[in-house]
Amino acid sequence: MTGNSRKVLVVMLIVISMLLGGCWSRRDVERLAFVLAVAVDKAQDPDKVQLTVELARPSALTATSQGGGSLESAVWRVSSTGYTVFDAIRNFASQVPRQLFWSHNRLIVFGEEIAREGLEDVLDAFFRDPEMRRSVKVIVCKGDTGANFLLVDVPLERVLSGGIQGIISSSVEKLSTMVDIGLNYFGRALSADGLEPIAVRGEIIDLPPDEDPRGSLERTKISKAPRITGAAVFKGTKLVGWLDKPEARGFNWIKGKIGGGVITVEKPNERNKFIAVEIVRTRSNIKTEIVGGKPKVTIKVECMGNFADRENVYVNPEGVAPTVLSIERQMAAVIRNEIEAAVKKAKEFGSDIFGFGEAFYRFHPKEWKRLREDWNDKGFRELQVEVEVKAMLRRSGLIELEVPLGK
Amino acid sequence: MVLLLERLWQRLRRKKETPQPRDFDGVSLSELLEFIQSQDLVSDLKENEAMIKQALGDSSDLTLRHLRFGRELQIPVLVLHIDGMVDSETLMNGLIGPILGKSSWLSEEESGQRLSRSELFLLMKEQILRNSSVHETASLDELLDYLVRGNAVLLMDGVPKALACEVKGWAERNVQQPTTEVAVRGPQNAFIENRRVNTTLLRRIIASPLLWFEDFKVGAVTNTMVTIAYIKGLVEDSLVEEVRERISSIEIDAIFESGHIEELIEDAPYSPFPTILRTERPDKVAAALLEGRVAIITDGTPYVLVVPVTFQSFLTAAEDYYERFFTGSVVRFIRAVAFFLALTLPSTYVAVTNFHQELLPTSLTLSIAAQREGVPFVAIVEALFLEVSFELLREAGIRLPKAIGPAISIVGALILGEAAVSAGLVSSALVIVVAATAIASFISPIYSMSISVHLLRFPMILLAGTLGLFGVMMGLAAILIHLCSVRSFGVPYLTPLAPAVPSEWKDTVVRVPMWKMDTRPKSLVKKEFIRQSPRQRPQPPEQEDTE
Repeated sequence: MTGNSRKVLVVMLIVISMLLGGCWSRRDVERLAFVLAVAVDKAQDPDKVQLTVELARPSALTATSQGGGSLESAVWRVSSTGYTVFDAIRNFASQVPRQLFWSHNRLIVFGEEIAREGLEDVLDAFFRDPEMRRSVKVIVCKGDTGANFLLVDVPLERVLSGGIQGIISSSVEKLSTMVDIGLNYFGRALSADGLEPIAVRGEIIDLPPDEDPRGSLERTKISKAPRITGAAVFKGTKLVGWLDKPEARGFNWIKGKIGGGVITVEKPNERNKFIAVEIVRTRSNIKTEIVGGKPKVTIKVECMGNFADRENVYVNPEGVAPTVLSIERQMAAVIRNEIEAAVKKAKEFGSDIFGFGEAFYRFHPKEWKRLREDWNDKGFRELQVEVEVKAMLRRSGLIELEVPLGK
Repeated sequence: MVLLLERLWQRLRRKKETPQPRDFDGVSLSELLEFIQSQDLVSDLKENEAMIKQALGDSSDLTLRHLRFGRELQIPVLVLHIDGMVDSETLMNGLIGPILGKSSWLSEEESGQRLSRSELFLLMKEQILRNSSVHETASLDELLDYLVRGNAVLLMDGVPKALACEVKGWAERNVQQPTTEVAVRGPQNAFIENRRVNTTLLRRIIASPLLWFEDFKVGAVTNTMVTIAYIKGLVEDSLVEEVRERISSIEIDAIFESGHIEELIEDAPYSPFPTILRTERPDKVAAALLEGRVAIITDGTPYVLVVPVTFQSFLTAAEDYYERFFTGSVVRFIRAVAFFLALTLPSTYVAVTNFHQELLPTSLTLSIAAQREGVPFVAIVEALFLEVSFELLREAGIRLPKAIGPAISIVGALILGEAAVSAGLVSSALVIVVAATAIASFISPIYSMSISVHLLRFPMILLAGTLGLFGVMMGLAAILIHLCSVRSFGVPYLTPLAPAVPSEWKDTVVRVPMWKMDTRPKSLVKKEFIRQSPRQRPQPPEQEDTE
């Protein structure tokens, strides 16, 4: 064989092997059904699980509102049941003309019922399938099914999942009275020693009948809206209870996940008059020790805030510095209360959502061997928790502390 | 009857003296050339005239002028030129006028002494002819060469030699603005089809005796003049020797354009990338010469070749050095990005819409999905379809007569594109991708590089359509490996990136300020590495405190 024909052969081999592969596993983007949110509930048949997906309708979604605007729904919600999640997903094929595509999924919503019973049977598919993203938010719908949660509307957004995602990210930034939990954290908490999972708490709230969020154009049935506050506490794969707003923020203080927020304190010498302090920067630190054979946790939180607003004119005869000091003291008290409330709630549930156990595992591995046996039910409940808070008030803006209102 | 006899006699005589070929009819080109080369001039003017006429086939543009010269005007002199290739005024004033005018003067001068014919010939060459250059030749071949290049040839009876006089003058384009390498700032002249004018343009930029030119005659039939230019002392002598060798080894019948030479001397003939730079800007060539490169100027084309060049040379415009270095650097960076985009944008689109729908933000994916709903073709067919139609438009745009060019581009680009989208044949996202790619691919200042990128897009799209982004990466890796292996006249193509030459990084994606350009490219220049004084950063003069 001459050198030239060998070259030709090599080129042919490469080209042929490429073309024989063909367009294997090719899927056209327009032949996909993009799942934007999925709800997991118990089906009527007790052995089965029900999946409800919110599918994007690309043409309706991207249609610009030319000529009166399209009020066509941008999504399509459809349910399917199966013995397992994967089974249910495959069963969608009998209703949905396109292949379900999960990589753009943003939410997994669990109904309260299935969450109370335990998620061990339904979670696996979400971790195993390569199309599933670990960044999807895990939501438990309080007092309702996940499917119903998908039926509410966020009128500002065309897609519910986008609206919920927006609410979560703006809440993290502005309030921090809820938790922002993705599937990755949830899974890690499930598998980790000494850390229990927690999830976003979603609620469906009724709007007052006269309050029409869509204005006069469409005075129809929209009377329900979603709300994201607090947190859902799990023990293992089972939902055990809820955290309310302050407790959820307490959780965030401990985990150092405060993205921003407002601390409202009473005015130093006036009842029922409030000052709002905007949280600017926080730092938290968990220190573990074994004192007399018993575990002890010290939570150190530092918080820096800016003076945001206040009610009414306030004049302190003692001057600015003592005022700032007293506000700082009250801030610290608020933070301490929130942390202690969160710890108290978690102890009641017997679920170490803070990962104190994990911290002991890291820093006191020998003692942890002894502690881990009944950590959630005994060790964590009897854990001595000390809270040290340092709060600082930094800026008041150019207006200083006083505005001569009403003068 | 007498005429016929005479012709017969001539023929017989010719047969006797020059046995072959008897007649030019039925003889091949190479034999004729060989025959002409073997002929020498003879003393007899008539015979010489016959020889020349035979060689030129008595062509209609051959003009003869019989003169008489010397004492009593008894010496026949013949002046030949090709009509249309000489300046008749120069011919009159330099050649015919002096010969006719000086005849009487001569006869007085030589009254005491009798000059031989060859002495007269020398006198003619050295004293009478007023042309700027006069060459003496004794071979028919050389004489004909001078003749067809626009010289006037003088033959004197009794002397087996000829004098070729410089009287060139023909219709020619003026030096104009460059058409393919436009610059906002910088010299606005471009090379033209005349090699001599082109060397002049270079001389005017580099007024140094060390700018050397060397001529080569290439092409057995066209006898095209090819000049190489370099700066002696800067250029590596081995490089010049290599260029000389490659050009003289060309054996071809015709050279019409520097592209012929390029293809005959380049290092990687199968590479999609050009390894020889062609430019029509004298300032660019001058800059290349000063970096130790060699320029190849071909007669008959305004495009001058520069060797050796690297990949970077094709992403460089002369203007980069004329504008301030921030501008130059930013533009360079944009060009590098554009090169990459032009190569990968359509293939990435195909890969993402077919295989990697998770890669883009949700809203963008949904938007593309919405646009592709109802498009009857799969993405790869759609992309190939649009790319091919763009290539059609581009090619049609070049070839069309200027008057209907704009009409076609409006029909083609605007109406066709818009109609194709609204008819649902193609998605508007892809139209945007193809248009952006087209713009990006023409950012390279050198057209030949743009075309390479154009063509490489098609295999890239095929790879993307079959193997997804994996295929795109494989394609890019193959291109990179290829680029690493190519050389241009001994210089690796990716210099100074691979092999890394840190001292040359000052002039790659970033163009450092002029006062920092202290050295010449190390890969090219070894003798005069330092280019300028290193302490030239302009600064305000140090001021003493004046209170």
